[in-house]
Amino acid sequence: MNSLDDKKTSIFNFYFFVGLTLIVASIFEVILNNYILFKLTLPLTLMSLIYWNVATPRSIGFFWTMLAGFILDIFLGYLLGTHVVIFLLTSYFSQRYFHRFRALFRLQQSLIVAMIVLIYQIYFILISNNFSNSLIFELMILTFISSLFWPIIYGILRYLRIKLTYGQ
Amino acid sequence: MFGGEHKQTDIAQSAIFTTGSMRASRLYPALLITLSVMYGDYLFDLSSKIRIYSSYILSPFTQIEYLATDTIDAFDSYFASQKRLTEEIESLKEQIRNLENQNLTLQNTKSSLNELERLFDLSKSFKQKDIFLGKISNFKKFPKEIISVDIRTNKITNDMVAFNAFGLIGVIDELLVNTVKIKPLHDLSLKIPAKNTRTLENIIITGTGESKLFQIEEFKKNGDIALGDEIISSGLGGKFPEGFSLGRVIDIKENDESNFLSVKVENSFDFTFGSTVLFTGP
Repeated sequence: MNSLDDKKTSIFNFYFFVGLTLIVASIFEVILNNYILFKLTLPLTLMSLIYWNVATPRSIGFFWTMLAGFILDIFLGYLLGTHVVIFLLTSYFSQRYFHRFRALFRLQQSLIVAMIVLIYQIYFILISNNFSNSLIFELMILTFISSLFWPIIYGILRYLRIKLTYGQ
Repeated sequence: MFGGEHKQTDIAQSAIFTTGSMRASRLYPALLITLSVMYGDYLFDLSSKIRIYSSYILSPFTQIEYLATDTIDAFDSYFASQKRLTEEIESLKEQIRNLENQNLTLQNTKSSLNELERLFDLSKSFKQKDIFLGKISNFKKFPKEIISVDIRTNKITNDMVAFNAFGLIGVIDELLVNTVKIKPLHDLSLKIPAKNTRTLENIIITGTGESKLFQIEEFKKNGDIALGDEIISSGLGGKFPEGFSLGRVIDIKENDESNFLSVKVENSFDFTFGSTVLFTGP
């Protein structure tokens, strides 16, 4: 008989896979930060975190969220825990409202993600205490780019999740 | 067939009834820990130490970019220097070709000058005679050997003979406007009064039609002739000037049915040699 459990990956492997994607996203973010001239960054890790919290809220844990946050803090030069705090809060709210989020169209999801990114960037602008007109321009541009990136990240991570979970 | 439905139901169930792992009861301690870390970092600058250690540990990876850049630079430099070398080699080859051409031109000039020098030496023997120079423009081998010579004078006449740097080479076959056609001494139609330098005996040599080859007409069997004897023009008849080498005896044959010997004379110089021809009257 065709059993679903035969093809399912163990929760242990999946847990590590989620962590791996977060770490890869944070490394990408750090590398990208070295190449783009903006003071702010494209929050790839945050978007990956939102995806995993919405797609598999049970599998995403504190450990990987905090590790990804600490990696960003170390390599982007922030006080340890700066990213972690916002990642924990994002995870919490994403898991609280993931049912509603899943039901939205992709465009609506992009708008929500753009809003989260906007708050995330403002948080860092406030921390850095470095206001300027160009920073507001960067904020707008990166928020817009992030909303464009969301369907791509969603598609890639969904494809990987289905591949890993069902092997299809 | 029910596998698919079972699967969809399972997915739908897990999607609807899933609850998140992050509850407020877990969030608060996590936030508390994070804030403690932040405070610790603020007090003891932990992140700087971690950054130093991590940069030390990750240095092989961070150096990859520089390694790649260095490698690309090395390749680029290698190919750029190779290109420069190739261009330099091509430029030197071009210089060598130019020098070879110059060398060839100089050699041609030198041989022309030598030829002219010889011709002028030759012309010293033509005292009180008019001499004219012409440039060889064409050489024909078939149906008979003819060289065409461009001239810039109308004073050349049909009875003149032609010389090159080696000496006497032929007579005028046809006189055209600005061009003279010369037939060689070995032409079948030519008879040249000559003499043997050893015996001073006058003889008549005729052309054989073969390049550089003559024969002596009606040389009696009891006559004095030997292989290697030099034959020169005798000047008799007035057409050919006296004292110019025509060749050496290379073959003597006796024929029982005839009272005459068959003697062949060969000259060593080329009818077509050089680029300049000197004409002089009888």
